[in-house]
Amino acid sequence: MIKSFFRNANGIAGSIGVLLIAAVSIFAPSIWGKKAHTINVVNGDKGPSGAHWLGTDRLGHDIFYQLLVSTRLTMEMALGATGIAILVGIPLGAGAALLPERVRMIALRALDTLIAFPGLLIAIVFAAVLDPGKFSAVLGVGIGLSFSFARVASSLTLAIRDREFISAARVVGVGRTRLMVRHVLPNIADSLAIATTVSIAAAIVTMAGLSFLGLGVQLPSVDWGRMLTTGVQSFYLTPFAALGPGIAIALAALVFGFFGEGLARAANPVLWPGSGGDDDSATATADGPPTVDDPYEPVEDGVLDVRDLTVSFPSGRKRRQQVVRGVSLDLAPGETLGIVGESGSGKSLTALAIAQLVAHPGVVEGRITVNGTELQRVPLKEVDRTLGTSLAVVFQDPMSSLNPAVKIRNQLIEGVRRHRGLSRAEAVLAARRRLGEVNLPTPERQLERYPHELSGGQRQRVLIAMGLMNEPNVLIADEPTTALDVTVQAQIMDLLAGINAEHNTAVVLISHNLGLISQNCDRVLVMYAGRVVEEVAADRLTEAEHPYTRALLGAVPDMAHSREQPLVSIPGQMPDARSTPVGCAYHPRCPLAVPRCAEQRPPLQLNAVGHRVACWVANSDEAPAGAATVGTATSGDGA
Amino acid sequence: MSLQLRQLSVRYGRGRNAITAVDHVDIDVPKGTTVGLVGESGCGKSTVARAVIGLVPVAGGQILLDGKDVTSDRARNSNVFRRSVQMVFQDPYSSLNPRMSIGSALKEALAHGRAAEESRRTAAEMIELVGLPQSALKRYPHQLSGGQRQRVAIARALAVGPDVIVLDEVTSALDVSVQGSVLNLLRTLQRDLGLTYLFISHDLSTVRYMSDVVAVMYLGRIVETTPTLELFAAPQHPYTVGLIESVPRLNHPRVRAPLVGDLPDPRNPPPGCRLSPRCPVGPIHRPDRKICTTEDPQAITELTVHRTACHFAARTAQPSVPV
Ligand code: SF4
Ligand code: SF4
Repeated sequence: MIKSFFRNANGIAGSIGVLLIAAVSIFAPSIWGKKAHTINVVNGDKGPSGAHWLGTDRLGHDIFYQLLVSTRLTMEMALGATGIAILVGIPLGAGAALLPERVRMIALRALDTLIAFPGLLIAIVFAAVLDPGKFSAVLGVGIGLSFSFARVASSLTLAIRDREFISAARVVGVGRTRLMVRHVLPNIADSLAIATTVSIAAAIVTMAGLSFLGLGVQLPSVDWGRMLTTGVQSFYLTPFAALGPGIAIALAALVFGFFGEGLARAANPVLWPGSGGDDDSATATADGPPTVDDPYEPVEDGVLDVRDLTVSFPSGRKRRQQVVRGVSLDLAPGETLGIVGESGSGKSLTALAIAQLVAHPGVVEGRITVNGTELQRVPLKEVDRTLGTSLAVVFQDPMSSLNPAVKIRNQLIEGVRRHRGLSRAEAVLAARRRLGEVNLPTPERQLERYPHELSGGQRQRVLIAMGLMNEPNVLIADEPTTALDVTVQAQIMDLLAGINAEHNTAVVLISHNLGLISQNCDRVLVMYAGRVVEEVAADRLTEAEHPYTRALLGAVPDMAHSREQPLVSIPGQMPDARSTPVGCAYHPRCPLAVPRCAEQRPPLQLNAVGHRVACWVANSDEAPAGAATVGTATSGDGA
Repeated sequence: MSLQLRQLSVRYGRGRNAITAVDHVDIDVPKGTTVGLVGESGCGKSTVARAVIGLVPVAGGQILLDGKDVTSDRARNSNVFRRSVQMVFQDPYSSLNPRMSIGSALKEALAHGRAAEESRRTAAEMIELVGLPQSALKRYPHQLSGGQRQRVAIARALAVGPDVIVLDEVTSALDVSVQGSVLNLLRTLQRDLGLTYLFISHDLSTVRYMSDVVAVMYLGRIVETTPTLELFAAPQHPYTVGLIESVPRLNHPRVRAPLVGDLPDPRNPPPGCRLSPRCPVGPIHRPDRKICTTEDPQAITELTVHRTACHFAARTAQPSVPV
């Protein structure tokens, strides 16, 4: 943690500044004390000169030296006030946030009211009650600032008190104090560090205000605030008498700001250099010597044809990482194609790329042909029209795909009016018909509702209806039921099957659920690390040959899995795009891997039964790639 | 240790917004076995978990541990209880403190008053028990994969030395390829340490694979409790039948969605049987079955091994799943 602090620029700049301020505070009074306190009335109110860099004040004090010498008192008071603010504010705020709900509301309201009082006012009250001077100023400013601290601490604590790790710690028996110190505080520390440094700056300024009112530091003691106040009175004569302390205050605030930021970064292990997954030592995205996939026969009247699709994102200095790495697929009218894979396999990005929805800085390459229109070869307007009228996408989370502030009706008719130039009345009529088609009860009523008034299943129906508005012949459904319950999932699958049968709409169904894909598709593509590794008829999915597909089939229990048998444990995890292994991306996890697998990428080859498989072992003639071999080779409990 | 829930109820909120999230739930988890609690989102299954573990107050009924009443908030927050009953949460990223190393998180869970050397050794044993390398102790949650994090969460629960573990959707946040190994681990640990599991999930296949007995929950109620093999061979409650038929399966043609509509608003559950607005054999298809909308079938069920809360439970249902 300390290392990390000194490795970030803020930490370095901040610590140099803080050290400098500390050194000046400690040594200045003994070194320059005399010079600063020398009174020379004759020489009063002079501008900067060689002898007095910032000039002199009315009594002839050298402003520069006075500034240096008064640093100590200024810092003592600012730190003292902040210290009080922390000691009072944090327990107050964090404690209030941990109270039972009813009492908490009252406590937080009270805090809000107290914040409304300016710190200066509270300080004035303290100075009036106690004697005006350093101590009442520090106490007053400290208490004044503590309320805003308390407010910050309470909102931060509220934000994390319901986080699961707090519950988890309570469940293993962690007591209240330790919960505060080890779980709550470290997670709000970075924000508090920043609050602290802001507060130091605020303390300096408030002190100046107090001095201006004659309630703060009393002469002959001087702090920056006092100097600023005196300086302002003769601003037109000697501007530096005010600018000097002003700049000092600003600089000190900046220094503490940097320092706080440095602390915040150091306190967060996620930001430590070299920690996350971003070590590219093992990085190599080469496939080894090039190999060629077996070509596809062009499908007659295909509605969608994708060739060598890649999607890449910038990864650090001038490099790009490919997340989709050469995917080809085709789709006949009315066909249902499944794409199955885990998160990180590139399946969703493939869909986004086809729909031209990959946002900057992602780059899509390859050839995408929709209904005979090759998207890369026509003007943007034409792309927009082709996609708008022949392709629709339905996403996993219907809530985030709908605009929460716009009525269902207006969201539904927008697209048809643009692409097909329907009148408003016609469009509304069409919308009502579509809502009826997706089996939403009382379509007229639903049209007038907002997305949040619908259930998850209803929203997904609305999205599908929206997709159908332009009567597309391709519907891409990306995990359309993952956020839904199984009984509702079954209804949505009924609906998609109905659309497919009735309008001959081709469907691309993307999911991680092998059962769902096998029941609802004609053909399945299995993706791993950005590539298609297998293509198989959906009803023969259980005869898949790729070791990854086979392992997936055995890793999740299904309704037919023997309860006595262990599940397949696949060691390791899917590589991320920055560290895709050379050769076959699956080789570090594959129980059948041979040396060649780590050297050269296996091409996607068409085999005798019409599957396509990308695997050296499955495609070799003496392949022992039977189902049983793979299953037993990987079962047992590896890490 | 055995865990028993007797007529357990949990309520949230007040007045018109009050929700009885858990409504007179009976569950028996005998020592060393796994009872699966399955249901869809909002059915109250996670609330059962949080009530057992003492994170939410109980509104009625009893929680018994080896026959001893531990229902009071004080009992469930006592150290003795914590040492007997533990929980593993759904999302291993949010259930681990991002600012705490794995080693510290494990040591913290160990009983207090141990020598530093001893707690270090125990933490090392725990990490080995869940199949992670010792180097994991020095890491922070974000440096581990989802599967590894869930192993850490399991190790933390084990560090306390419990007999009963409540497992709440432990694989739902994990990638498909690592679910198998986590489930295998849980089964191995149960066999080796004689643990008792309350296994909560929305995933019927996983529950079937893990549990000895399954309780099916709908809108705050248990609608059917049956030994696993029997439940999947001959489900009797129409909801259970619908749930099982809704699960997509390999090598099995798709069936039409058996249940219509969505979950009703739990603040305002339908009168009589709670499934009646969706039930495929209830009043929406069989108008003669008026009793479903007037009489609560919960009242007629008795505490037997195979319980079904339905006026017309299909006692002769066909086996629908190979077992
Ligand atoms: S056998 Fe080789 S080519 Fe085939 S999946 Fe395993 S590592 Fe890849
Ligand atoms: S009581 Fe009636 S509505 Fe309820 S599950 Fe049984 S048949 Fe269906």
